[in-house]
Amino acid sequence: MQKTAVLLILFLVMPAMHCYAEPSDIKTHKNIAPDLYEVLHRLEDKTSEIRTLKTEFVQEKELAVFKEKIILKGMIFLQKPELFAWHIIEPLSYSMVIKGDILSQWDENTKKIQKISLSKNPAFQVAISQMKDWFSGKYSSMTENYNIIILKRKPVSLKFIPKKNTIVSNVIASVTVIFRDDERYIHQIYIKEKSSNSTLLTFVNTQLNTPLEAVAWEVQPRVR
Amino acid sequence: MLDDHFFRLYGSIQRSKWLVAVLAAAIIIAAIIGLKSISFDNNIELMLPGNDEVYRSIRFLRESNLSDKVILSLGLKSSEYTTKDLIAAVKKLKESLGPPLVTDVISGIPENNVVEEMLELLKYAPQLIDEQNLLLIEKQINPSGVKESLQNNYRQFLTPASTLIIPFIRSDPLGIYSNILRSLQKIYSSVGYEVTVENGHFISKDRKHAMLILDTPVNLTDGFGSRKLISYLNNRLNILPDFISADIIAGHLHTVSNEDVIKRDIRLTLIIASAAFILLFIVVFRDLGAIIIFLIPLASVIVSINISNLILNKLSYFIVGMGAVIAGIAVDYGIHVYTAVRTGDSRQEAVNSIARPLIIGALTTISVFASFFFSSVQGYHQLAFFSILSIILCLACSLFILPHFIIKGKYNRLKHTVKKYGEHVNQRSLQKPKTQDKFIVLCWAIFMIIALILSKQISFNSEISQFDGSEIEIIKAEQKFNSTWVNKSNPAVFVVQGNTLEEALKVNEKIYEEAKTVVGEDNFSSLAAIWPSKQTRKTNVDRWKEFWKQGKEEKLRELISTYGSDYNFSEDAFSPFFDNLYACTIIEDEPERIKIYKRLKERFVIDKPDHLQVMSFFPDEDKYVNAMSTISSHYPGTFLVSRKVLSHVLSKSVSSEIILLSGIAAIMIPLLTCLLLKDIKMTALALIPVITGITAVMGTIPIFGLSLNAPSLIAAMVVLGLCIDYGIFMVYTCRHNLKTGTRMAVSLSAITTLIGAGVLLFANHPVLFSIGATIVSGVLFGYIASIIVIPSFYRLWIENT
Repeated sequence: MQKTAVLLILFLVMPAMHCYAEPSDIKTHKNIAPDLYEVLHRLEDKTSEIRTLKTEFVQEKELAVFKEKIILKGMIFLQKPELFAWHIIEPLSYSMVIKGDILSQWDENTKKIQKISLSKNPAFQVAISQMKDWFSGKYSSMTENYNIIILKRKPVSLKFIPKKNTIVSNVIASVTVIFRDDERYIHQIYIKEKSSNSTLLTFVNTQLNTPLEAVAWEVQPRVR
Repeated sequence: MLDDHFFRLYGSIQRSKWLVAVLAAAIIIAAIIGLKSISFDNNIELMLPGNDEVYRSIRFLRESNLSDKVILSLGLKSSEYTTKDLIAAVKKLKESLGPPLVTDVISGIPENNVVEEMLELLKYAPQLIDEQNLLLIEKQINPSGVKESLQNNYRQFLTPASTLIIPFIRSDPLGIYSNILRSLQKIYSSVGYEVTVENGHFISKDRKHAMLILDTPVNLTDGFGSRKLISYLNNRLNILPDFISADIIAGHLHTVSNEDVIKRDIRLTLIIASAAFILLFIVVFRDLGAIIIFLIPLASVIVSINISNLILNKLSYFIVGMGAVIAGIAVDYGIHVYTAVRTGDSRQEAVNSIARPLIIGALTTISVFASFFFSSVQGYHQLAFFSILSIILCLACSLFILPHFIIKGKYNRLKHTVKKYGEHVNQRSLQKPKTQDKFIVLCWAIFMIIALILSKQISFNSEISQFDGSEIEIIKAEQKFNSTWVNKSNPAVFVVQGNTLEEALKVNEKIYEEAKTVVGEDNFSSLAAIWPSKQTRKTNVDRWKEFWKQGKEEKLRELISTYGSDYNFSEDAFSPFFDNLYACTIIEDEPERIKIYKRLKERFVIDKPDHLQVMSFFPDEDKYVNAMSTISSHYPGTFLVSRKVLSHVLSKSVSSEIILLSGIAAIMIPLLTCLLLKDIKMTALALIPVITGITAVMGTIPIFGLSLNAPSLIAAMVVLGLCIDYGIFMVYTCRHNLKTGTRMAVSLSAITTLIGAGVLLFANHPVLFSIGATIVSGVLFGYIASIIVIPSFYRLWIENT
């Protein structure tokens, strides 16, 4: 309840995180530095070819609430336009699957499947859509809420700093995205929070445009 | 005896007619000058039935300034541009708007500190958490409760959306503030708009529209100010780039548009009416002196406005608007006198022969308006006074002044026309009944049956919106706005009043507790859910302190420490909770520094000069409104405002008013006619045009796709007054075989009325059109009945017996 309430209030009061990416935004925007424009254009062109994504991930969370760094391991599946799955295998079995408007989640503690309508829970919609934007390479829509800096050109590394007066600026200091050498997908995402918390998400064994099994979209216990 | 007085007065005026004329002219000039100093009242309450609930609701809606806001909805025209471009345009526009016409512009809510603000509000938990919630907390402070909470927190930290909620979980590990958050969420989602905030700006769900809310000192009913405001806004909107569209959503736009539509209608109808009257003069009167006929009612109305204002103190705009209708009725007296004098051989005899039916006709018309005094609508009392005065003045001028200024020429075209007309028609009343008469009566009966059948489809419409004649572009812009922004219909409002905020909040709390049971917590959006009275907050704080200081704080710390290690939680993982446990335990009147509270107060509290009103909102549904009405009856000083109920009560009140007035008129007209004519059969005949006219109105209105409304019912009263005049004149002519050109006079009266009201059929404004349709259909069929049906009935019924 608390989580839902917080997210919903955040959405209702001030969400700046948007859920609808503008098509070809950066191609027409004149306020972006030419070199950044060129990089974003190139990355978006490459990621736009992605139809399906299957990847393992390792998420390292360094949070003040934990004594030690938490390492999560799991799988992410993405099938454009509307299927998304986030399965955590370690240290706790947790699954979240989005099919269109419905978000289903399951965890090993409650062992219950909870279904949420995204259209009726705009906060979830906002949070999830932004996550999908990161994973599906819609960087164009990020330019409205983030100032983007090119940290490195080979492999490309971009730093996204939330703009003032955005909801993200409340909690996030910066997001650094490091791409693979072939620039077809992300290698790592590093989120630095204002409170000194940080999260590093590393993608392993990423497979692009491979056929995905139906089991990917089921919320069920995963093998550890 | 009466005749003697009449002739004495008539003779006196004849002897000093120029002195009377100069005196009359002086009075009229003074009245015209006097018009400038009259203050007209545009208060709608004057035209409402005497119902406290209606008065209060209308006053609340007007004074709450909920409708005085102006909204600008900006939209992206092209997909080539983004929300960022839209926001840039909004910023530019916002900067360009300012006093004196725009006093404040709200384009969104700053977002940068919102998480901190929410956390700040949660620090007030000791003041906001009541005994019931404290008991729930107590149930959680045990190994299994704490373990479950920690497990839940751990799981939430692992979800993709965890970043945003970490600060909240650290401040509330047991989720004990969830009720506060839920109440806040409920309040925000009850706003009724589908709005998100992006970069501090109100943005629609499709992210292609932005909204600005403007405060203006210009009152909705101020036509001049509204025009200035709209012109100013249109001028400012010109600075927007080409790819941005803009819609103004404001009541002021309706004021300006209605004024424009009425002005256009008046221009058009004046042109048509002038052309028709000129044609009438050329064909029938051919006498410049006849202009006096039309000047008399105009002068009477102007003088009446002055006298009414002197006696009644303030006049409604609506009453003055009815002046034209009154003039339309009153002009008939002049026409009758003029026709009689021009066609008769002696001026005095002519006036004498028509004076009685003229006075009887005027008295019956006066009786119709007199019935308005029985209404509970104050405005109708004004209307009755003003109308009766105008009719009396006009009748007096027509009988005593007009005849002396009518020039009887050598060749009298009017007399010639009447004679020719009489040869064919006028003398028929003296003839024996014919088969033709039976046919006429049969046709009339068939017509009445058809009209009665058609009248079954008639409905009554009391919606105030039907009087809105705003241009279609405004309505379309509002529909577009609704589809983009609005997701709920207007809620009903429960209002608690108090001399101080604390006084109002105390009652508000009690109402909230009761409303939760009858309306449901989720349906009742109240400030009490978030912010109770100072007294309650103090009690909560005392209870809170006592609760935690009984060793529960230590116990919870211990339990979190023990079971937190299972989930790798650090020692200070939930320190924000313990740090703020007694943070806001000093009671202040209002937490002014918390912007969330300030925004809530703006939505729920109305500051009046001498008191405060605290509003709560709930769905405007009958079951809820009824339940809340019962609660309100137990709390003096509280009331509720429901647009649905208001519409229903208005409809009921107006309907019962109309039934009452129609009933009075239905009794008064035959009674008075009978008393004055002293003959039941003649009375029955005189009523034929009235019955025909009213039945025709009832049958015609559905054909026009219209429904009955207050203006059309008043117009129907006018039809009553006119038709009874026609009836009285015709039965009088039939009985006394008058040769004063009655048929011509009745025809001219009807024609002038039909021209005056008929042009309203070209009007775009729904009210004018509705008045036009009612008068035209009623007078047309009433006139036909008087001129054709009465003589036939007379021959078949009276002469035969």
